[in-house]
Amino acid sequence: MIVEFKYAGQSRIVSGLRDTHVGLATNSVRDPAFFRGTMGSPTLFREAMASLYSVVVSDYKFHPRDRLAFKAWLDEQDRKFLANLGNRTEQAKLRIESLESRRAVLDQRRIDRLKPFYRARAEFFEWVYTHQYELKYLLDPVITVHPDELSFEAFSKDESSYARVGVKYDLFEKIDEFACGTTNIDFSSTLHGELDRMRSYRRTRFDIDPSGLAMAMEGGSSHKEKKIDLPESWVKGFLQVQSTMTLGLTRLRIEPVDLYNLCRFLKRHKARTSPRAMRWELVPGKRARVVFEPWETAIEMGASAVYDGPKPLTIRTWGRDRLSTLARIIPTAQRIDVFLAGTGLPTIWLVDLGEITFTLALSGWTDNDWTSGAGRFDLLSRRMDASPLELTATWDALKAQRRGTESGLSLVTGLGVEKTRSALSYLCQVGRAMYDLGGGVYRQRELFPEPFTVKEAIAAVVAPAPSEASPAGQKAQTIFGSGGVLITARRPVSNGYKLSGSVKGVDGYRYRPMLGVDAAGRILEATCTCAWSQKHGLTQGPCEHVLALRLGHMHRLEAEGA
Amino acid sequence: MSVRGTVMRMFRPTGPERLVAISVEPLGGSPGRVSLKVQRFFRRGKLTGTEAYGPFAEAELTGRIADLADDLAAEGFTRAGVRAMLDRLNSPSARKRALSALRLGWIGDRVAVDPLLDRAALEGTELSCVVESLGRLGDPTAAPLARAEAARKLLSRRRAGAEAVRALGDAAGMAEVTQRAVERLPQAMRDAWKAVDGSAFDEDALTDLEAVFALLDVKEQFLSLDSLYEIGGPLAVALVRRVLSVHADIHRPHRWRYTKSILRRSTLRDDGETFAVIARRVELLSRKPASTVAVVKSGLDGQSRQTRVFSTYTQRHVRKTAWRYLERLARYRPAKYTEVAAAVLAAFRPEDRELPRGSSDEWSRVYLYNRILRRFDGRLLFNPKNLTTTLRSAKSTIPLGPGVRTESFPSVWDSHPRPLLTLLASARVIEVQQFAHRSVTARHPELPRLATAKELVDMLTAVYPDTVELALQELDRRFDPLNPDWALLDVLMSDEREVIREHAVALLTRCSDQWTHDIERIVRFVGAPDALLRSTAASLVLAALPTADAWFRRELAERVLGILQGPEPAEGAHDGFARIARDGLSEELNAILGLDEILAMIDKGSTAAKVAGGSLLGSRPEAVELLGTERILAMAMSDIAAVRQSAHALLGASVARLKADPSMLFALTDCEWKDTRHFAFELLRGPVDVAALGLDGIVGLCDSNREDVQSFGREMALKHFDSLDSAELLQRLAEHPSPVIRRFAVDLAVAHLKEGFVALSRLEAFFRRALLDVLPDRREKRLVVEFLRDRGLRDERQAEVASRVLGEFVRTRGKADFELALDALVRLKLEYPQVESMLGAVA
Repeated sequence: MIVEFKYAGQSRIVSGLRDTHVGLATNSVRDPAFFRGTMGSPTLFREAMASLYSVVVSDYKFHPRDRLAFKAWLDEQDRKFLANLGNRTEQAKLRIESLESRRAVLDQRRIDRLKPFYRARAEFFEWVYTHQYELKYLLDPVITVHPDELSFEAFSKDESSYARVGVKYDLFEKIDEFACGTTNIDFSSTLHGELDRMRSYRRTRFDIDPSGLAMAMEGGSSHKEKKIDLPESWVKGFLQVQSTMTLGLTRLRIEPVDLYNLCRFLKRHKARTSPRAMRWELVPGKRARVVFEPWETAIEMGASAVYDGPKPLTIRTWGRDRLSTLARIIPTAQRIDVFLAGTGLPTIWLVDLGEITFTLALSGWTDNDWTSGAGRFDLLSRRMDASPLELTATWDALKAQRRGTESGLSLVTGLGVEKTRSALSYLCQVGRAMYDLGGGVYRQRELFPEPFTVKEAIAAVVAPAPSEASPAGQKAQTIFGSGGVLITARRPVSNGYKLSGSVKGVDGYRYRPMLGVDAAGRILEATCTCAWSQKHGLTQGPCEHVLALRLGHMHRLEAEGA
Repeated sequence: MSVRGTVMRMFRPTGPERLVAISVEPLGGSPGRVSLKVQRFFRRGKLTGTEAYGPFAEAELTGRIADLADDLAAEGFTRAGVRAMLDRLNSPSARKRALSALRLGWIGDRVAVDPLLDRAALEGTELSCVVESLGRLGDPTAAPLARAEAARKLLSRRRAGAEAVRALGDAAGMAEVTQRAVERLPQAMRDAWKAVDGSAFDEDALTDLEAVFALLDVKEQFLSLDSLYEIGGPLAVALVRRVLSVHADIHRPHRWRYTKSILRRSTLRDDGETFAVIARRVELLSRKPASTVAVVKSGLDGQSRQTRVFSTYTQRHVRKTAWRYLERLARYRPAKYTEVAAAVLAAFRPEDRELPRGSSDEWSRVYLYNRILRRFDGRLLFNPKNLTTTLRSAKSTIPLGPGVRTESFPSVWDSHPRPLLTLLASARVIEVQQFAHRSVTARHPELPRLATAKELVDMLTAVYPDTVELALQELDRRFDPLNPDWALLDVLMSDEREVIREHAVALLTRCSDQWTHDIERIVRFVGAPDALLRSTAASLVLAALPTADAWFRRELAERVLGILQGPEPAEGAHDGFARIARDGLSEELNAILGLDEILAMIDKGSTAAKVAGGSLLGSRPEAVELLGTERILAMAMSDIAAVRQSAHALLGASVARLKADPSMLFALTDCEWKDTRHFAFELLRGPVDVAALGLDGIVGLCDSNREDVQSFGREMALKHFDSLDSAELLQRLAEHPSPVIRRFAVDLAVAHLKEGFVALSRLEAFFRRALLDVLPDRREKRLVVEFLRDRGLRDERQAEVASRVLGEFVRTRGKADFELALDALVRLKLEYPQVESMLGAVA
């Protein structure tokens, strides 16, 4: 999908001796969302945006070493060897040696002479790389003007980290005007450098406007256009993050110094061998401990991080170096909430900076990125039926309020909480809404420039739910349809049901899945005796046997209701 | 260089004189002139008479020998061997008939034409050989037969016919052959071929054909290659050579058949280069098992059957046939032998060597190479079974004595040495270079004089240093600095290789007196595409300018100005002119140019023109008034260094204005160009007082993201610290995100923070940031902890602030930091037990 970015102006920050003017240019192809105000605490914003930038440019994927120079050297050695094969006499060898040494001296002189040139060339290449990278590949952050906050969302370069900066309006001394909506902002490394010059002793004017700061240099144009081939997986990444956020997650509250200790340890220790997980050891009533593998160094969290779950848990997560993107905001952080989904599953870090909330969602490990990895967290949630009219009504209500809880919106739509939740789930799946984990509310966030129409609502409803459309979902339907699901135990618990069953798979063998679901059918935990589940757990979504068991459970619930 | 010894033998079966030998004898005292001697024998060893003819010039030797042969033919003599071969032409053995027909073709006596045509009429299996021989003999009476054969379907007969038509010079027959060959081409190649002009070599057309060739089906690729070679012409032959030199697997099914056909055609045409390309590839492929079995359609009966392709037998046959062809050349066409042998030797590459193993050396398994170059090397032993040449013994590595010749047909090399220059220019293997160099220096020292400019240029990049030396000597001999060979210089200058162009530059430097006073040549050399040449030419012109006449300088200035004011044809083309303008002609240009024109050059000219304009502007103090300070400030931030420098010069002349408003200079301190920043620093350190900007100015400097500006800001902050509001300064510096400035702020805070709770609490967030920075800076952290401890011990309210910050930090996992923070907290707790602290939690 080719996405067009058109900026009438350039995002720019102009710092004078007493004033700073931040002008963020918005994509003129999108909603005419704008915001104008004066910032009260610009340094806080600066730190949050610096962290967002470090997430955007971060790439922790494994990159093999560039061995081109080494191969060239090897080729040169081969050439020398072959060239010398014909020279057998000592005299010839001596002459070659003397000539080689002379050549080495001359080469060194040439290198010395050309050093400024090489330096200038390297700088030029760096400049070209940066500009081309920003122009062709850097996906500008998505900015949404909400009635109560501004939010900036972006993915890292390796697409394994998602970050969201939510700036509450309390941060602003004065808000002149704003119009809600979602758009992109022109973002560059130069802008990041300029952000660092924001100070509280300078009055900071903050504008989000299509023209940015129309201060083109003489002879230069401030008009900028980008056409980026937006991968469909990137859009999917946003939806995956939403699915993860609505899962039943284990929450821990840690203190900034705890995060400082984690980051400090990671900065000083680089594991050369596996295992390289960060292991969370949670014992009910005790403080959580983080153990770094392979050294088995344990760091105990603060008093606020007492685990209140029913049974001990050990959760291993990988790609821990990505935490260093949070280093900059540690001193300004007030508290941090960590949301754990399970071993090899995503982790969400919610950093409270006061008027700003910084959300960092990390995939289970770096290579299992949000956008193209095999993780299908949308399979874990279950979508109930919703008609196009119900969907449109919910969207209208959300659009009118811009944000709201399930119950709040259900009062407006009159659809009931369950229906509203389903409709909101639909809207999240089609990129029309998002779930704010920090605030616990749904927000309107239009990922696409085209407005939501009835046609799209019908298409969203007709389209099978991810849990049905996926290969695992289809297999689950087949199993359930052929009567291969037998629920052997079903126990109501505080947050839903615990189930165990016997499922006859499409291969004819019987498996024993166990399942924990909430009242809405959302999978909280699951295991199965099949090879897939044994190998991947839930890191790549549930297996067809688990999904079939859930189908059986939901069917029985409906029957009982009737 | 000339032919010596017996050149022809003739035979007559009857009469008192049955043998005649024609030989060439040099004439003592008359170099370049020879005599012909005709010796008559009854039988071998029984001389009956001798006649001498001459003296003749060497150039007319061939004609004289032909005349003598005609006279002797009239007496009933025929070329030796012809009669026997004619007899064998009627042998019951088809093999013998074929071989004798081929031999007759090589001998070249047209007496054989009629018997061969008679033989052809019988249409035996030797027909192809007969047609090939008729082609070699070149008698037009064979044209109808050749045309008819060229129209055959069977490849061997069609090939023989087509090549005979070509050799006979039958234009109409050749047109038919070409038309049929084009029709045989696959559709895509046919269209591509029709779109290009095959009669002339063109690199672009060749690339297009290559691309089409690559897209053809594997079965059609080499078929089309053979057809193209049949068509002939520079473009088709170039394509065939290039493809064959690139494709390593010519031995695969559907390829080998046509490669073999091209090889055969190349021997019939004496096309040494194509022959060399294939012969080298066959030699390399024969080193390891390369044969395959495939079901292929027979060209003879059209049946598909499983056939071994490129078998060991075939390899041996082809390799031996290749050498046999060279032997025939040496015997019957000696001038061609050295040409083709040189092409073969030049085709080998250093990477064709193998690792020596046992008694084998690097070239042991390259049969053709060994036959041509090392046949008479006494240290080596030839094994005819596997065609390898091995070392006789361990002593075989001892170098040969001077004058020992190892090559085949040394007398032929001596008679026709011109291809030695080809070897010197294009051979990549060092032993081949050594052979050619040895031959030239020992026996043909005058040969380099015959080298073309291109050959000389190629010799300059030879792998053998002595060859390069030889080329340089010849170049020096040819090049007269007082009367330079401009054509040779042009060839050298336009060469693609850098090292050759460097030689051109060196020669140009030697003859600089001959062109640095010629405006046209200056313009040509200074505007050359090669950067080194441009730069050197500009330097030489600059060196010559001080002694030049005033009128010449003026003329040159006008010409240079005209060039600089025009568009730049290629990037960098104006560079040399800009240098001359800036460093040599500034006076003349200042006299010619008005300020407006200089500004136009800066605004609209090429980069080089901007440089020249910038340097000229710096010497115009009146520009300050005209441009205004803001424009000069903008110029000080220009991308062009010379423009910035001129702006610096102009700003330096308007210090009074800057003193009145130093904020203008402040903008320059954060310019992206280092030279401008440093210029601004110097002004702010010296004549313009930065203190006039006050706290805002100094903090503004520190607020920069550039390290040198921060450093300057720190320097200014320390210099003017007493006159500034220290609390405010600290407060502002504390917000800087850079660790360097933070360290500076910590030092300042420790030394100068005002007493009391208010000052300390204002910096609480700053101290927290310093302590919770992940990047370790132990000194800074220790300073902060100790400072907080000391301030906390002074009063209870400060102890609260210190306890708050340290209470959080004490939970650090860093041992040293923890102990330091814990110690501070304990002391504070002991001093003020009522102050809340984290000590309990830590315990």
